[in-house]
Amino acid sequence: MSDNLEKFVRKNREHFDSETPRDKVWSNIYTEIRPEKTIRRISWYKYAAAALILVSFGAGIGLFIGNSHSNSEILVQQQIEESEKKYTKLVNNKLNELSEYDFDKKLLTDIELLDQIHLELKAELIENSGANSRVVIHAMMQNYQAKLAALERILSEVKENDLETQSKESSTIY
Amino acid sequence: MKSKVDAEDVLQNAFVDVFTKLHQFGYQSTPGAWIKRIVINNCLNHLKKKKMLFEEIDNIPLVQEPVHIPQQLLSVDKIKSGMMQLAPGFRTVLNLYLMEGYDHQEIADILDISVSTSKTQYSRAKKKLREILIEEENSSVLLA
Repeated sequence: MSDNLEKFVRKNREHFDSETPRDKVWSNIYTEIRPEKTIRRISWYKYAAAALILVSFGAGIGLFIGNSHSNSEILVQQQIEESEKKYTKLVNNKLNELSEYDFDKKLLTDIELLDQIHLELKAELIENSGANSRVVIHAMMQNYQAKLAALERILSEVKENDLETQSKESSTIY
Repeated sequence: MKSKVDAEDVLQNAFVDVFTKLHQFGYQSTPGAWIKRIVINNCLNHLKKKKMLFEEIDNIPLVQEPVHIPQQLLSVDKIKSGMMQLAPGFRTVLNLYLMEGYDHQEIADILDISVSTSKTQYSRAKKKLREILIEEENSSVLLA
């Protein structure tokens, strides 16, 4: 239940604060609290002690948070390493399989490009392991998946070619 | 505070209080609110010293009706000068409620009066302010 006076004041409240004290007031305050300094020297130490406790407490908390942060970082690092191991194994398997066939090496340029991107992503992850590390990791995983898919495609193509040549060969034999 | 010199005196004392009572600050409120309270208490002590505080008038609970002030009279300067002409008691309640945003319970605590007194005082102060504003307007119209 507010009337137009209340509304007006609420809207224009800051305009009512037009007065500022002269500088003299502040210097007076300063001189008035100054003589107490000598008497209150003991309590100064109290403040210093309190400040010290506060600071060390803060530092403790800071360290704790920092530690837990690096703990989670280590965890993330482990996860990355694990999935990297898993993916490199898969990729190597495919590559091994491929190497048994004779095929156009041009097909591997895509893979090389993906490798390059992978290295860049890894460098970025090391450089800023902060806020967007999740995004980078995600991109790395996608990179692996793309690589696997590409290898799969190449492999099936190569196999098909191989089968054709084999059948041709066999047909020439028989 | 009516005069600038008085206001400066009170401000000065209030801030000396703030610094000397710093160890009493209990963290029950924000430092800002605490300092504000000290300044207000200093103002009130000053007013009491000058015996300007309000008489507890007949405490008939007043129906809180909105006070409508003609729109053309609503200006910062007019309201300020109008408030200067109010009795200190009225001005104090108006200042605390309207300007400083305390509610009636808080004003009652600060001024050591009852909540209903705070409400009646506030209502009357607004009405009086409206009268003053209209009167001022009429006299300035007459003069012009």
